[in-house]
Amino acid sequence: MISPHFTLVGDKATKSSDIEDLFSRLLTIIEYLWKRSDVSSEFQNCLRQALPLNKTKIDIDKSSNRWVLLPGLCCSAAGGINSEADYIAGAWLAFYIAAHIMDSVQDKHIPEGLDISKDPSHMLNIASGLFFTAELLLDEFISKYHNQVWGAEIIRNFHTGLMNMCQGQYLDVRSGVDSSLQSFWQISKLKSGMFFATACKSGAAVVSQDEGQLACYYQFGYNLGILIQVLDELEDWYKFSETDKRASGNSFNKSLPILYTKTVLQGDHKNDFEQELSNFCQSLDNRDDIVRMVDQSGAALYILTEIERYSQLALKALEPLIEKNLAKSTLVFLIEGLLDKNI
Amino acid sequence: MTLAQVVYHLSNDSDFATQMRTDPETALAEKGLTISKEEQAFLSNGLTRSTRADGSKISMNDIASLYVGWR
Repeated sequence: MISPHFTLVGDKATKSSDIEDLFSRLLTIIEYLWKRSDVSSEFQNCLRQALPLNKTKIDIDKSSNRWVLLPGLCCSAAGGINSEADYIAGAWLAFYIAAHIMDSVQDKHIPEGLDISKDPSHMLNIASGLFFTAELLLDEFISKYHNQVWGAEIIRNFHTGLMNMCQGQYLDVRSGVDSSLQSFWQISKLKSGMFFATACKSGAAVVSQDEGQLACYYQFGYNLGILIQVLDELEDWYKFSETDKRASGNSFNKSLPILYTKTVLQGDHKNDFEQELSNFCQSLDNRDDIVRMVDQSGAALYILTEIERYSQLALKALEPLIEKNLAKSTLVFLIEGLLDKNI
Repeated sequence: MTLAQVVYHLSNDSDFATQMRTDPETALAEKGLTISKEEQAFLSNGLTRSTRADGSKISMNDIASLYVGWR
């Protein structure tokens, strides 16, 4: 098997040339669309700051940078050329960044690496600009696509996926402090699963109308998206357990290890745990007690089992695809790299 | 959230854990729990990955530290 361009996800040695090439193409397209929209250069500059396209050094460890290759990879795996999915990739990236910004307004903090002001009004305005940048890209895709009817179908499915993602966000906002393990999975499937499913299926749909094949790419992206959510939870847990930062009350109580532990404990054990959580919001002194209780509940095994589930489901989704090529190998490698952690 | 309950019992009930290795159907039935064969396979792989060579169990911090900066 020829080595794919990707090595392990998060591996500092991963080549960035694919991302750089894509960003260069997207920058040309997006700058042209902004100029054609006749918006001021000042506003264009604000939008440009929020996108990672024009940075002098591309940080390949940024998740949005890496995953933007998915539409092109799926297009290539389905028998096409990566660049045929550029408009889809660009729209998906713009939506991704916009959603990220809106999440930041909800969480009241600016994520690392986003060059935008902390003013919520400004952030929402930038997010809106990026949403419509995405729409400009999709409009341009349709105008250039050889099959208008099928092109419209691709866009319709794209929008449906995003609407479901919005529904996930609605459930997340509404759940507040009354989250449950069940709602965690429901929200993850809508927010992350469907978002990545949209990227993968839309990319493949640029060159394929085979519904069976497209379903495979959908399932691959869906399970990859949920897996990504679980891994994000692990990173957040590390920050909680190993740093002096006080976790924000709502996000901490909605984290996967905490929700799992609250679900499985009963009676006095449950009451004790909830008391510890309540105390933790006031001070960090009982952090070790919470970590111990979470460990004793079997959270590590539960999360490893779920990582196993979504990895295997993502790999299984690719099995029916007959086309064996570098892109398909890369998709497989993406998942295997996530599992290949020595414990 | 049956899988979660199964994991909890596996982690806190040594008799259940032993029986799950030899007769998972009976072990689950006696607890009134049902998980699919597919979930049993995921759980089995999860158990393998969560157990060190010396038989000790890994912690949440152990797994979390592997995925720091994974993005």
